[in-house]
Amino acid sequence: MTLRVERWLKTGIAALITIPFVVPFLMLLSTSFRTFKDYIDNPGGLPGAFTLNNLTAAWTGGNLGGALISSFITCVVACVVAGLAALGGAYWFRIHQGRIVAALRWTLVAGWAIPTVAWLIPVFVILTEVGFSNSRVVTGVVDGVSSLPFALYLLHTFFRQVLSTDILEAATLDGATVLRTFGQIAVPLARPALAAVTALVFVWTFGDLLVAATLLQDPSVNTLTLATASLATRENLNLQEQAAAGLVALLPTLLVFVFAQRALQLGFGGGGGK
Amino acid sequence: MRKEPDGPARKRRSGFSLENSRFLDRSLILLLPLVALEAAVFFIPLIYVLNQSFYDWEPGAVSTFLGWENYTTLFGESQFWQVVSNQGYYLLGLPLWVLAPLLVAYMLRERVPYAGAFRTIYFIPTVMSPAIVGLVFRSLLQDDGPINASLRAIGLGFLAQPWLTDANLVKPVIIVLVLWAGFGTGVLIFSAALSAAPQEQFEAARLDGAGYWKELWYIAVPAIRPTIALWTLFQVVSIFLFMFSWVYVLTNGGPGLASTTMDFFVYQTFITFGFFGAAAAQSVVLVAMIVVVALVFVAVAQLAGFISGRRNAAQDTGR
Repeated sequence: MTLRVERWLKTGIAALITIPFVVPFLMLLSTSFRTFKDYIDNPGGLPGAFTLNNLTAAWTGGNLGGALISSFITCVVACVVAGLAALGGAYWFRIHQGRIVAALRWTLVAGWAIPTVAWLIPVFVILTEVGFSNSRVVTGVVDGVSSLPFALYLLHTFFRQVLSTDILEAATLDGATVLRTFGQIAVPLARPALAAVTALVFVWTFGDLLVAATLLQDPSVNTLTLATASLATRENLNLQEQAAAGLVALLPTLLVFVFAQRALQLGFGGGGGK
Repeated sequence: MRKEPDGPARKRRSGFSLENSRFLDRSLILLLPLVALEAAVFFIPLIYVLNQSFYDWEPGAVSTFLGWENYTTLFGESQFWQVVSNQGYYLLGLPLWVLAPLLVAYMLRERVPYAGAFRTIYFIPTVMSPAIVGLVFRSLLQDDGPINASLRAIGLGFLAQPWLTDANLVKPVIIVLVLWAGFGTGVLIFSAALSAAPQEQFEAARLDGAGYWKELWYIAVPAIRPTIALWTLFQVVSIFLFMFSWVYVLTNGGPGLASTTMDFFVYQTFITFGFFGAAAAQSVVLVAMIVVVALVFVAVAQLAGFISGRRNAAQDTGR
């Protein structure tokens, strides 16, 4: 087999693998925009009639506009909380070393492996007692913290790569305080990793169901993901309207994916190896 | 990156030293928010849950001390053991979740046309909400849904199945969906590791006439062992951590309890049924299960030579 043939064979296999990633979204699109009758006549086939009714029915029936606002409030709060706390912590761990420091860092990263349901029960009970249930800002903070271990891991790994001891040493010799070095050297250097963290925390918070379903039970503060998931369990909504709601709920994260793709891939060590 | 000399030599040369920097100085203000937030949301609640698991926990009222009763009740329930066996069943998907992305990353390794575009497409599910994607798959997989309809339309009607309502089919279907969700991240991580591996070894192997599969097994896999171990651990733990959304929208745990995972089980106990003490005990058991599974995994990985002791593993994965 020549090298050329082999390469195109590999491309062919890789292209086949994209089918399960592309087709569900095409089906979602076509289901959202076809009429009920058209679907019943031919559920597996291509759509024959186009309508926007499903979209408007889902939008008004599920109060998706309000839910979109709730989602953005929680997402922005979560990004700010996770970004700032992880940035400061990651830098602190870059300039401090030793056994205890390493143990503390691994404990904070290991917080990732604590199941959400386990800590969510007391958080829910306590927030309800102090009257903070159904607060989108507080839920945003909780969402941000749930992404903190990963954000810390990512930013700390990044600082170890770009913030050499030489740079830190030079700054110290120049008489810069720790906080000044942090603000003027570390933060600007961390920008690519911070973009990855922000994009990931945004999509994770946006897509979260468990925390939102527990802390934002009042329908008026439901996030888009939660509102869409509850819509789907209602009897009076047909498949086309559910699909339309799903489409609305996926669009914001798709936009993040398109605009922050490089940053996201950097978050998982990708982007290179082109 | 240059290797820096550490230790006394460096300390003498300049005023700056990583080891010597004081613990309690003004820089602590950078660390405090992180520690305070994680303590308030993860660690203190976890200790509280452990404590409350010994009570008939009534939020807002008086809780009665029960001792081990929540635990003995739990271990006596057949539902609990059904859910534990579900978790074990899901772990059978592990070879698939590791090998599939590894093979594809390896295939895309050398100048395959459009490799970057393919990796990007596989990566899409990473940013998607499992809850919403689960809804999409739920409608696709319905008895009269598009997938079965398409199968019937092209004369393969005998393959049409009640995918999500058959107790024997639902877990394999979910295993495949978990592969779908994590595949792109795996490909990306393995691709990054493969491109960072020393390329001379691949060239040497090729000059020696090693075939495609030999090169994979003897050069590529050993070169990225720590990454494989880390990804496998990530998948093992994820199946205990992040299944809630999938189960909630796809099957609601059914049929019966056939697809229920531990996290969904705990959620139902405290949100649907309002048994907070029982849910606390279940959470403690879930945490214990994760710790045990992770420790067993690390031990097995060390025996198999995939990670070489704790210290090195920590360093490798930090890269």
